[in-house]
Amino acid sequence: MRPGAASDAIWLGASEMVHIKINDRDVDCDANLRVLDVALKEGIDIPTLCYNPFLDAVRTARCRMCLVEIVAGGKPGVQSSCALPVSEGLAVLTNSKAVYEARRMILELTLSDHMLDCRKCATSGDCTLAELCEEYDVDGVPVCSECRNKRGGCLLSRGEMCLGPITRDYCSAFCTNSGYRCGGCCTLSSSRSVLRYGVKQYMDMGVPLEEVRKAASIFSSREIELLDEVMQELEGGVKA
Amino acid sequence: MNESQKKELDEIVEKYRKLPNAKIKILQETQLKFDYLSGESMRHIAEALGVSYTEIYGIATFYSFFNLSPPGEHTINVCLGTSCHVKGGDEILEELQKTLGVDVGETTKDGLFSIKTVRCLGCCGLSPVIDIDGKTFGRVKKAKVSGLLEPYREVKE
Amino acid sequence: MSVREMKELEDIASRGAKKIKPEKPMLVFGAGTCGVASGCGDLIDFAREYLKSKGIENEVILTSVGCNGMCHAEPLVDVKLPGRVRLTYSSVDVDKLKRIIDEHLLGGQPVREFALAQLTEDPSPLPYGRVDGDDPYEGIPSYKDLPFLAGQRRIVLRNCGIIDPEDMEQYIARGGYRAAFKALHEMSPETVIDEVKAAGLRGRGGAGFPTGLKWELCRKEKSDEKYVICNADEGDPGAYMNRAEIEGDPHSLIEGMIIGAYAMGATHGFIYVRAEYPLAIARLKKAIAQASEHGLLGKNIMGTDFSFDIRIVEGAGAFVCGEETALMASIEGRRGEPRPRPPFPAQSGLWGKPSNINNVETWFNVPVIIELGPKWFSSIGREKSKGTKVFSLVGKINRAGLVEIPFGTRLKEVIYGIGGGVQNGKGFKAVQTGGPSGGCIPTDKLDTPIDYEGLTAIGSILGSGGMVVMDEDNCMVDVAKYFLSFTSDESCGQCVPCRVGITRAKEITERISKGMGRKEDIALLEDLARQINRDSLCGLGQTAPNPILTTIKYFRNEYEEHIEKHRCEASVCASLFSAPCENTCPAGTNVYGYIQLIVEKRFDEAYELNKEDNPMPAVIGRICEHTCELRCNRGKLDEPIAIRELKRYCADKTIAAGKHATAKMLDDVGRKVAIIGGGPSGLSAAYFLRRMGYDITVFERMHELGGLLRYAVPEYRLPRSVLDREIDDLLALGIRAKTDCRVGSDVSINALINDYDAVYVSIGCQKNRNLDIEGEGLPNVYSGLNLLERINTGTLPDLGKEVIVLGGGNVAIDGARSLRRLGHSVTIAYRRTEEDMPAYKEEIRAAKDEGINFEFLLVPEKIVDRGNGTLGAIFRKMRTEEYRVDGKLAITPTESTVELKCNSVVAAIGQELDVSQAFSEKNTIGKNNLIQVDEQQRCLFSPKVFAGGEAVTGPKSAIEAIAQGKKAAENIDVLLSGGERYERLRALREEIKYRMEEPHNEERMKRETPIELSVPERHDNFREVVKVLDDEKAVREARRCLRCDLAGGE
Repeated sequence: MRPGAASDAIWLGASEMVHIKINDRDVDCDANLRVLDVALKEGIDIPTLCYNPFLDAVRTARCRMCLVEIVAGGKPGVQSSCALPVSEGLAVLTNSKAVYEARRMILELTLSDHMLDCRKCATSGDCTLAELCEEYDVDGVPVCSECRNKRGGCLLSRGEMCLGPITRDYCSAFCTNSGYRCGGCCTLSSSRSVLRYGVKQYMDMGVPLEEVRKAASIFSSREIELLDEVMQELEGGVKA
Repeated sequence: MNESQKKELDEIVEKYRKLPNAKIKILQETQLKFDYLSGESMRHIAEALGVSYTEIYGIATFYSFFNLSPPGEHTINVCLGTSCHVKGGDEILEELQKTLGVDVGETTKDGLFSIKTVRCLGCCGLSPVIDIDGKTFGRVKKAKVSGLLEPYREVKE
Repeated sequence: MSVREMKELEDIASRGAKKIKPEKPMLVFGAGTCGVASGCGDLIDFAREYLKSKGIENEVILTSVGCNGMCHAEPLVDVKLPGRVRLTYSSVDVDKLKRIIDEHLLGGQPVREFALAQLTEDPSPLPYGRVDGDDPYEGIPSYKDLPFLAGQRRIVLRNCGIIDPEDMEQYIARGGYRAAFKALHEMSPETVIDEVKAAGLRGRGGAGFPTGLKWELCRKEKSDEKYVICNADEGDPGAYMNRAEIEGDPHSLIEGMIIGAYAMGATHGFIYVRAEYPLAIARLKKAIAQASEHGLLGKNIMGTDFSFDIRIVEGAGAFVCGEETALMASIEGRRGEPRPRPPFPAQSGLWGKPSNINNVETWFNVPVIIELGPKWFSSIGREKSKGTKVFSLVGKINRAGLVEIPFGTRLKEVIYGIGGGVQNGKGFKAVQTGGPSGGCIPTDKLDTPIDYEGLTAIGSILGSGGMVVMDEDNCMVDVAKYFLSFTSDESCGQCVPCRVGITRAKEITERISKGMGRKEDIALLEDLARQINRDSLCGLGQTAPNPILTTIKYFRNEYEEHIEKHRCEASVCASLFSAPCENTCPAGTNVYGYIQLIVEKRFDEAYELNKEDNPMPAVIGRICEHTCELRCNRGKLDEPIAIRELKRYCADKTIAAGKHATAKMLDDVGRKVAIIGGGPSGLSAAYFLRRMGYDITVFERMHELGGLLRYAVPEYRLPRSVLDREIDDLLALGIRAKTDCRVGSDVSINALINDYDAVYVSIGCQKNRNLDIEGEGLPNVYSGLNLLERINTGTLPDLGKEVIVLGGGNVAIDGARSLRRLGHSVTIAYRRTEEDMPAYKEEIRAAKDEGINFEFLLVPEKIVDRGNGTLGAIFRKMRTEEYRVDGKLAITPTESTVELKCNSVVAAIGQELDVSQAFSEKNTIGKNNLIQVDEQQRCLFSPKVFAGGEAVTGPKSAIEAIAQGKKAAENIDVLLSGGERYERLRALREEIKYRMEEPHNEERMKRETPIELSVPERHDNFREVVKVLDDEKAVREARRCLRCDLAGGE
C-alpha cells in the first residue's frame, strides 16, 4: 500500500456532480474534486506553498496557506482547501478576515523558521514566499530578497555599505537593482529574525556594526532600538 | 552485518511481511534482536520489502521506540510525564546524568548504561518513576538513585 | 470447546465463582504495573517460599489481581478465608506479610494494625459472582467507609482488583460475555445501536462524541469489510486509566468490541496499545487466546453466523498516534501522521474502509449497558454526560490512584474528599486535566462539576482522564513550558502552525522563565495560541495552546512577576533565584551564607550577615513561621534544614559572648524620616533607613518598643531579654524613639508631614475582632490581644479557675498556653475542625501536651451570667458539610446547642486595623478596611507618606512585617536619594565572604532537633520552652546544607 492510499478512496467513487459555493460564486462541479482544484479552475486565487498537482499524495495540508473558511455544509472553521473534498451544499470563503489573519500568521511563522539569506537562495528572486509576504503585508523580507545582484554582484560583498539585508522591501529593490547601494529609506524591517540574519551577514563580512547603525539611523531613528537590541544580542553571543 | 545476522534479518522479514503493519513490526523485531537499527539493517529491510530506504528510515525516526545507535547494556528510562514532572522527575534525571556522566540518549563509556526519557510510563500513582530494563521503580528519591544502579553494575563485574 | 448456549456459559461461570470464593484460604496480590513496581513480585516469591517451608503450599491458594486503584497504598494484599469476607492489607512488606500469613491466613485472626478495609459490599452493579455476603470481621472498616472509595461508583472498574485478569472463568463468573451472548442471540444490530444511543454513552477518549451516533454512521456505510479499533495508545502524560483497565480486566474490552463489531457489521478488530505497557499487552494476548479457544472470537461466535477477530498492534511511541487518523496510519505500518478530515474514518478509515475507533474505557461501558439497559445507565451522571468516568488522580495528592466517579461530581470532592488534599500540608495551586491538550484549573474553579461541558467551559478539557494536582511549589510558567516542550517534541511536523507555532511559543515561555521576557510577551502568547488553535491540521495542534491559555487566564500574575520582577515565587525557574530558601523568605535572607559561616565556625559573622537582611535574627529565630524550610531542597533528599534553629543559634551564640553585631553604616545625609509604630515593621524600616544615613524618629503609643512582639508573644516563646537586646542594638545605631506618644492625639500627622522628609506608617492590626453576640460586654469576657497584653505587663485581673478561649489562631493558643501556666484550666473552642486551625501545628501540639482541652465545631451564640462568678458560654453545635474550594470543610449549624460553664471567656477570633486610630485623611482606608497604598507603598493622600506591615496587609507573620519595613526603606530612599543609598547599602552585604565550594554531602543525615522543656518543667513558669541547639548539633546541622546557590546556577 503506498503512502496516502487511505485518502485515495474518495477518488474511486462514480462521478457525480455537486453544487458548492465559493465566496459569492455558485459552482457545479465533479464530486471527486477538492475545493482548491475547483477554485483554480474557476480562476479564484488561493495561495499555496506546498501544493503540487502532480503529487497527489502530498495533499495532506501541510503549509496551510490554502486555508478557506467553511460557512455552510461542513464543520465551521478553517480548513485546507487542497484536501477538502467538495460536497453538496458546501460554502467556503477564500478571503474572509479569519482566512487573511490565518495566512498572515502562517507566513510569519514560516519566515521565523526560514533562512532569510536570499542572496544565496536558488529561487533567485522568483520567490512565492516573498511575493506572498508582500501581498499579505508580512514585513519579514528584506530588500536583498528582490535584489538581482545577489550572485557575485552583491554590493555589500564589494565593500559598499548597503542596508539591503535589514531594510524592509517596499521598493522592489529599485536602488540596488540599478547598482546603487540601499540607503534604507523604507526604514528598518520590524522583524527580529530579519535583523538577526542581516546583522549576522555584516558580522560575517567584517562590516563594523557602528557604521551600520549610523547609516540606518538616518531614516530609521525611531526603529533603531530594535536593531540595537539585536546587535547587542549577537555581539554578546560572539564574545561569549 | 555478517552473513548469519543477515540471515536472521531475512527470517524476521519473512515472518512478518504479510502482516498489515509489516514495516513497523519488522523494525520492532529487528531492534529486539539487534538492540538497535543500523543503517545497514534498515537498507536491507527496505530492499527485502521492495520499498525505498527513506520510507523505512522515515518510520524509524518517527517513533521514539527505535534506537538508531547501539544502547548500553542496561537502558534507563526516566519518566517525564506530568505527574513525574511536578514531583521532580527532572531532578532525578539530572542526578542520573551526574552519576553516570552522560546525557540523554548517550551511553556510558563502559557501555553499561544508557539514559532515555519517556513521556509517561503510566505509573503516575508512584511518581517520580524510572524504569531499568523494563523493571519499574516508583517513588524514586534523589539520594536513592545510585543505589538503584548498584545491582546492575555488579552483574557485569 | 466452544460456547454456543447460555447453559455452557453458566457452567463456566459456576467454575469461576468457586475461584473467587474458594474453599481454601486464599492470598490475593495486587499485581498491576504499580503493584509490581512497589515490590509485589518479591512478596509473591516470599509467600511461596514461606508456605513451602511450612509444607502447606497446597493448602493455600495464591492469586494475583489487577489494580484496584489505590496506588497510594501499594503493595496491597488481600486475605480471603472460607466463609469470611475478603480483607485488604495496605503498604505490605515482607515482615508484615509474614505476620499476615501466620496470624490471619493460618490463624484466622486479622492483623488489625495493618488492615485497610474489608470488602463487605461488592462495587459491581451486576448480580453475578459477587464477593460480598460472607461474615465480616468486627471493628475493621468497610471499603465504602474509606474516604478514597466513598465518593466513587465503579462500573468500568467493577472487576479490577477483584478477579484474576488472566482467568476468563472468573470474568464469566462475574457476568462476563452474557451481554455479548444477549446481543448476538437476541438483539438486532440496530437495537444494539439504539440502546447505546439511548444510554447516552459518549467517547471516553476526550472529545466526547456520542458513541451510538458514531456506530450508526459506520453501520450505514456499505462495504465488504469494516474495522473496529480500540485506541489504547494512552499518550497523555499523567494518565494511566487504560493501562490499569486492561491489566485488571482485559475481557471487558474484548466483550465490548465484540458487541460493537456486531452492531456495525465489522469483521476485524484492532487494539492499538502502547509498547510501554508490556503487562497490558501480555494480558490482552492471553485474554484473546482464551476467548478464541472458547469460540467467543473467530468464526461463528457463540454459534451464530457472526465472525470477528481481534489483533493487537503495538504502538512504537508517538503521542500524535492518539489522533484517530494518525493511529490508523500507524496500524497501516506507516509514519503516524494525521490527515485532514473529511473524509471521516466512518466513511474511509483503515485501508480506505469504513472504520470506527473508540477508547478503551468506552468499550468497557458497552457490556454493562447491554446487560442492565440504557435506562439504568442514563440514570447515572448529568444531563449531557451519562455514566461514570475513570480518572488518574496523581501529582501532589495524598491519596493518589484511579478514581471512578459519576459525571457531575465536583472537582473539590475528588481532590479533597477522595484524594485527601495536597501532600505535606502545602497549599493547593492548580489541577491539570486533559494532559497536554487540557488546562490548569485554579482553586476558585474547583466548584465545577466534572463533565465534558463543565471542564470545557473553564478552558480545560475532560480529556482521557488525567488529573494532576499541583501545589504552591509548582510554577505555572514552568508548567506551560513543560507542556509546550512536550507538544513541540511530539508534533508530527507536517503543518506550519503546529510545528513552528508551538516551537515559537515554547521559546517565549523559555525566555520568560529565564527572566528575559518582554512586556508584550503575554499578549503575543495569547495571540499565537488562538491562531495555532484555529489553523492547525489535527487535534494535537488545535489543543496544544490550552495549557498556555489557561495558565495565562488564571495565573497571569505569575507571568507578570517573571517578566517584570524576574521572580519565580515557587522557586522553580532556576535562573531567577540562587536558592529556594532565600527566594522564599519574605525578607530575602541569605540563608545559605550564614549556614556556611556556621560550618566555618564564624558565628559572629553569621549573625552579622543575618542582620544585613533582618534587624532581629534572635527574635525571628524563635518565632518565625519558616516557610523557607518547606521549600528546602534537602527536604527532597531526607528532611529540610532546621533553618530557624540555626538562625537562632548564631544569634544566641554572639549575644551570649557579649558581642554586638557591627552594622555597616553609610554617612549621615541630614534628612529626617518619621516612623509611626514601633512594631517589627516600623523597627525594620527604621533600621535600614538609619543605616542609609537618615535621621530617624520612631513614634510609639505604648510605653516600650516592640509592638506585638512585646505585648502579644508570650515570654515562653520569646524571652523579653532577647527582644530588649536586639531593640537596644537598633537604638544604639542612633535611632530616636518617642514612646507613650500617640500620633493623632499627642502629635498630628500633618505636623509630621511638615517636619519630616518622609513618614512611614506601620500601626499594625491591634484591634480585636468583636464576637457580636449577647453577653460580650459582661465582666470577665476579654479579648485575646488585651489578655496577652495584660499578662505581658503583669496587670492580669482574677479570671477564676476555668477559662474558655474562643478561636483557632496563634493568639488563641498563646493565650491558652499562658493561662495554663498561670494555673488556669483552659478549653479552646473552635468553630471548625482541628485540621482547619490556622495556628502553627507545633503550637497546637504543644498546647495539647500541656493539658489544654480542645472543643471543635462550636460557634458561640451567647454568654450568660450564671451567678457566683460563673459564666455560661452557649454554643451552637456545627457539623461539617462538603469541602469548600479552598479545601476546608464547610460548616453548617445543627439543631443542638451546648453550654460550657467557666469563669472567664477570652475571644481571640482575629485582629483588624483599628480604623479609629488611623488618620482621617481622605482615601486612607481601602475597601478591605486596611490602609490602602500604591505599588511603591505610598498612601494616596500624600506622596511623602508610606505605609506597610499589618496595617496594610492584614494579620501576617513577623518576618512578613520586617520585609514590608525593609521594602518601605527602599521606597523611601527612592524618594529621597533616587535609590542610590539603598544600592550602596546592598553592596555592603557582599563584604562578608564565605567559602564557595559544593559540599558533597548527599548521604542521608538526620535533621537535628533542639531540646524542649518537658511538660512538667513548663508548669507554672514562663521559661523558654525550646532550647538553642548545642554547638556540635548546630555545626552538624549546618553541614547538611546542599548549597543550592552553587549547584542551581547556570
